[in-house]
Amino acid sequence: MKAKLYNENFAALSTQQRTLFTELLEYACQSLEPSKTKKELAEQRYMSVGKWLAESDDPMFEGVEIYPQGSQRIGTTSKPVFRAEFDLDFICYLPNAEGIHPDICRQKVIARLKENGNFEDLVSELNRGCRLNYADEFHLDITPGIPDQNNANEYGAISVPDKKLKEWKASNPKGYAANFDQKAKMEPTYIGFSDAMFAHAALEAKNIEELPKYTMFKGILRRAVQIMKRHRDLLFYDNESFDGKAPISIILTTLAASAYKDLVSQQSFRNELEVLLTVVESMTGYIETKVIDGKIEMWVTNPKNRHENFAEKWNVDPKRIEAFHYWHSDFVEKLRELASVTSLPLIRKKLNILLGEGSSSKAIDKHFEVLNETRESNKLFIKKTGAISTVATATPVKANTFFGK
Amino acid sequence: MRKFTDTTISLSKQLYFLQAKFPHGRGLIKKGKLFWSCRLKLDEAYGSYTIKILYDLNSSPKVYVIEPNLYDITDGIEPPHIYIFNESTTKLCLYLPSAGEWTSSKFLSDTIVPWASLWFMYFSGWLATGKWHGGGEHPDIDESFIKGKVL
Repeated sequence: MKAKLYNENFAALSTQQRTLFTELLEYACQSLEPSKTKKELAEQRYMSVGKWLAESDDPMFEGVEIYPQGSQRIGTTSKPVFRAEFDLDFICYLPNAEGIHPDICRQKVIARLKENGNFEDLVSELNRGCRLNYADEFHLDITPGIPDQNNANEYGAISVPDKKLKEWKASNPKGYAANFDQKAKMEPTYIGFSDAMFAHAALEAKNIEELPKYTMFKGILRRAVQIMKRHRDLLFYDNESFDGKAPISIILTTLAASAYKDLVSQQSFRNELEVLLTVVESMTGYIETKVIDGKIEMWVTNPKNRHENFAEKWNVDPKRIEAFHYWHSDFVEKLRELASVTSLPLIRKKLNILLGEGSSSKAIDKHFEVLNETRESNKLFIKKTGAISTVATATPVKANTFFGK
Repeated sequence: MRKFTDTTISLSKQLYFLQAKFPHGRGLIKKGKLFWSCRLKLDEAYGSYTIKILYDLNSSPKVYVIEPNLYDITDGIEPPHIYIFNESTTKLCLYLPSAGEWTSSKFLSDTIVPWASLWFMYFSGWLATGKWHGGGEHPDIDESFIKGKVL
């Protein structure tokens, strides 16, 4: 497996510098997620949608169940660029809607929502379902689903309207999510003196419980996907030559998950950053080439349905393939550039380009917030060199108040 | 019984501990004044800075940044918490006067030097984001004027 991106750019950096990068990427990702209150609000809102649908007299709604799907289900949400509302996707599962035409089904859901004054003005039609637009908060996108009509014969399989609403099409968001969770849960193996283990061991030896907080990624695969999506959104924003051709999230997610699974089960790493960068570098290797009816096709196969090609459109629109590779090489290049700078102001500039000004600013704010928490609990130390550290050395930093203009 | 904390620390003891804790610093005592200068090598992200401390037992320690020239780095824009800021002199404000954070019974090596390092970390953050993350207080001229009147 490739590890050039890490080896040639990050391996020679000091541990502190690598830790700082890891930390800032983690904080930037946190800033891309909806806040806890927003998440709870979204949950309340979709539950009340479910309740309203369930209270209908129409037998189609009997046993209705609303559940999250997509990025919010698998924990890879990424705040949209220059827009306040998060896109949150839901399945409105209708176990008693079999035999109903998909478009009738969709219209009935919309009509039922419009009967409620709270939803009436928020509902708009979408290709496969409908959207509730809560301004400044989120878009709840609802897709109707019915019991599996396509003999997928597996856990979680349902059928959803196809794009043209002519027929029911196989889908399995639950199965995909379970499969993703399983891969994301796999823990990388770290070589003997990885940064993290070394720090742990050193602290344990001194019996001090104070590893800097949050310096670890909250799930490397999830963070990798968030960063990819964010960079994609920025790269293709207002990009006329690739308008509408940016690689879709499910493609980035699926390729990253496949790469992560193989890498983690096949090799050891020095630290989390190496895992993340190697996933990025290797993911293109999971695009398959298949011969279908004598024609060569590019495939990004749904791990839960080998007949579903997430990259279906690539085969009718080569510009999309070009867009994917344009994104990937730009992403690798920007990660490489990140390693080329050392000072915080320059790191900030590189992060701006990679993840946007808002996220990079929040990442640095959070970095200092954590430093300040440590400072307030009198757990900062100064080394002989003059560097401030959280690892206990001879001289603790006493409380002070900066004064003056 | 006199409390230990009330004991003024002699200049020679100050210098001894500065050198013990930061062996690459250089200092001397001349005519009742302590001069000490040292390169503070922070983690790469925050840079390295040479500071100079001037101290005698009748006044509070003064801390100057000798190198790099912060005025050049900021294009003359003044960072927060600074006493003097011009092309030739940068003097830092590191503690709240008369709040007991600094007294002559404290070691420079335990207070002033680590505070200078912290100041440089926040300075880097300020260069990166325009925000000062280190907190602190600014002298309120109006308020002290009113207080002065009352007195």
